Amino acid sequence: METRSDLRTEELLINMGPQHPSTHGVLRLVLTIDGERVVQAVPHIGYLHSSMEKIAEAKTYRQYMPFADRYDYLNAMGNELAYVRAVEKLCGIEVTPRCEYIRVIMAEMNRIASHLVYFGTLGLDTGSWSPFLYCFREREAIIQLFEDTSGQRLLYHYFRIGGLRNDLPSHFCDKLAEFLDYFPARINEYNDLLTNNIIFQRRMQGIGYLSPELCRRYSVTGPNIRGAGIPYDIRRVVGYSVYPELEFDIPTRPEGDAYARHLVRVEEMRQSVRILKQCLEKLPEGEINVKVPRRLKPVVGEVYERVESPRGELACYLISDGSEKPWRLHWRAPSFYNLQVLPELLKGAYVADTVAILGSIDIVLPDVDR
Amino acid sequence: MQDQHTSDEESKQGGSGGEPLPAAIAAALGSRITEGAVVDGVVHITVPATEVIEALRILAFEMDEPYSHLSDLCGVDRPDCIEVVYHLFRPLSNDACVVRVKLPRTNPHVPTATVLWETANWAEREAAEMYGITFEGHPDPRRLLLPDDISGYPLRKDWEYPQDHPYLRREPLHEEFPEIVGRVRAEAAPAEDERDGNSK
Amino acid sequence: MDAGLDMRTTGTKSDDSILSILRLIVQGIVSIAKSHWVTLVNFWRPTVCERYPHKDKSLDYKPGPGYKGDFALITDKEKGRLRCIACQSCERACPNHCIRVVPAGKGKDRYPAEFYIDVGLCMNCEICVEVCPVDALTMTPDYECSVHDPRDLIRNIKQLTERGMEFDEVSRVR
Repeated sequence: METRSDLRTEELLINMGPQHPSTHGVLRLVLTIDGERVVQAVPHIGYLHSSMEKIAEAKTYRQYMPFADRYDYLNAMGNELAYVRAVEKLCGIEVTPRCEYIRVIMAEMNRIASHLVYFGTLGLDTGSWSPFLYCFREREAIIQLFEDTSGQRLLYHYFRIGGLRNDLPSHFCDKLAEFLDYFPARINEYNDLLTNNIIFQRRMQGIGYLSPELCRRYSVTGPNIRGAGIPYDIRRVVGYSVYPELEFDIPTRPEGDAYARHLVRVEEMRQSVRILKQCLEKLPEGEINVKVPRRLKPVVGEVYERVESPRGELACYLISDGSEKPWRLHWRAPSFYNLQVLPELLKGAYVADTVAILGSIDIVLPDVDR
Repeated sequence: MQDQHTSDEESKQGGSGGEPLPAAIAAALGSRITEGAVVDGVVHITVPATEVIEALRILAFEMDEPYSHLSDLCGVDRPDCIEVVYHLFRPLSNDACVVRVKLPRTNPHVPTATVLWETANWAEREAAEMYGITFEGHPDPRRLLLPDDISGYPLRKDWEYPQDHPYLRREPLHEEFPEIVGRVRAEAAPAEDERDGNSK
Repeated sequence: MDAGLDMRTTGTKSDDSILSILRLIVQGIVSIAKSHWVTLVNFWRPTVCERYPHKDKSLDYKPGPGYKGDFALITDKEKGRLRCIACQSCERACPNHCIRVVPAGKGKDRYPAEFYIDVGLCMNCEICVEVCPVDALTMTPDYECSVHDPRDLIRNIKQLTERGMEFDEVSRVR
């Protein structure tokens, strides 16, 4: 067919969001498209800004705990872990081994729950309805355990500075072991349903290519960087809490496309199951709480505490001036930095792939806006 | 809040108990460092605003074991200055280097780090709107998180809570609530949480 | 062309020989058959959803004893009065300032004349319960708090005391 170079097509500006079912929250993307290709994508964020950092300056260290849950709601236990570790490091509090193990159990369960939500919603984004329902059924088992333990289903406020709200309920270990027995088989089922489905594969392979160089320039972390072949996992790099005592692999894929990131997350769920099984075996008996002064006044200083959230490197930067309230608290939110790379991924992609690419980098909008 | 703040807030860098800087960093940066210490294995250095990009470039690209992962960039309001804090890490390790720039409270300027990492783009936009820092040469200096009609810089300690702003106005229920009980709250703790930003 | 498009053409290996097309078709049929098999298996699994609020009474859900639901004030049965000594610790500790206590009486006879909790503002963090020195305030497993008017979400001392009467304190996990 004859093509003429002086023939210009007109570029079209379309607005995706702020209220769009596939943007996982309130995200507005302004896409400049040329035919079916995205020329430029500009994300607009801030619709869910809740001034978490300003609130921290008006609350005491204990009072801020429930707020830490609330900004990345799919990973509430992980956020609590980051905050509580930062405060304990600042105050020089050592928690008991049993408490550490329970915290890791909770964080890993939450990682599975978060990845299940990712799996289900990615299915929705790519036009498959069943995985969403099945994943939420499995997630329900975890949420039920959280409810029995902490008394809430989504925003737990279970960790305390120097310990936990209460010990595990008596049926917890059996229920969790039961879940861990059947869950790997369920992952296989969902792989048959979605991951190995040829339509899904052809849809996801080769889109949203993320190179290691791009990851460095944009400080991309979490499953996204591991999908680009770099084994960067804070659990291994920092080795916080009891992770050095546990055996687990860091799944990586060299391809760097959306499908690679998806495979990394699926494999991470298996690794979390492995971690949880070891934790249940090693869970020591004993006290869960240590004595903490009623009026908590850390020394003057600052800490930057990093943990691995399901979305990447989550850090809590806490500055104390010696009073009861933090002088400054800053969240290094993984979604905030991972979303920044989206315009690069969308350049030259098809419009129809936009939602798939956005789904594959797995952002949570309150985490972006804080 | 700001009045109860102790004036001996020296933070960690240059404070007591710090070990001397590692030789590699001291040699690479030389006289660019105005203050420096190692606290709990973390290198804290302070550089002047004009030298910061050069210092970051040397740390991130020219050392033998470079600190090439910019984990975070944020502003901090210290009693005597506004700080910009860069958290650098070595890739695949926990070796940290915290670079600070101290800026005056009035009209703070610092060159942008987006020339080294695109990571800094949004982080600098956030710091700019929260602290009023101008990042010279920033490719996209618009507001990021806040609505356009917020005045002042909310994360500065002397920011006044705009009671009449439509986004920050309390809901009618919260307005009524003190009236139900009346007097109690006003006597007990006068205006304790005016600045906690209950933007529902 | 940029990297994303190159991957699309090279990554999926679309050579046009008849054999590879046939293989692709067979692969497709097998993978889709597997997907349908999974949905078929799940068709026979038990349902986990409840038709809330039009639920069957036999399925009525009771949360565990540690559930953080609606508030209650506990009455001291022996003395026949509320345990609360109106010390206002909960009021000071609440991160959202949703509690108001109006004390009355002096010394040992101090008691709450009024006790308001705005459940609509509350975020169920249970800090108020933890700081209570006499274990007078508690959260109960009652989770059905929805009302039509937000003003009804403000609990007063009468409602809190009534709920405390039915509350089983012994089994409470905390």
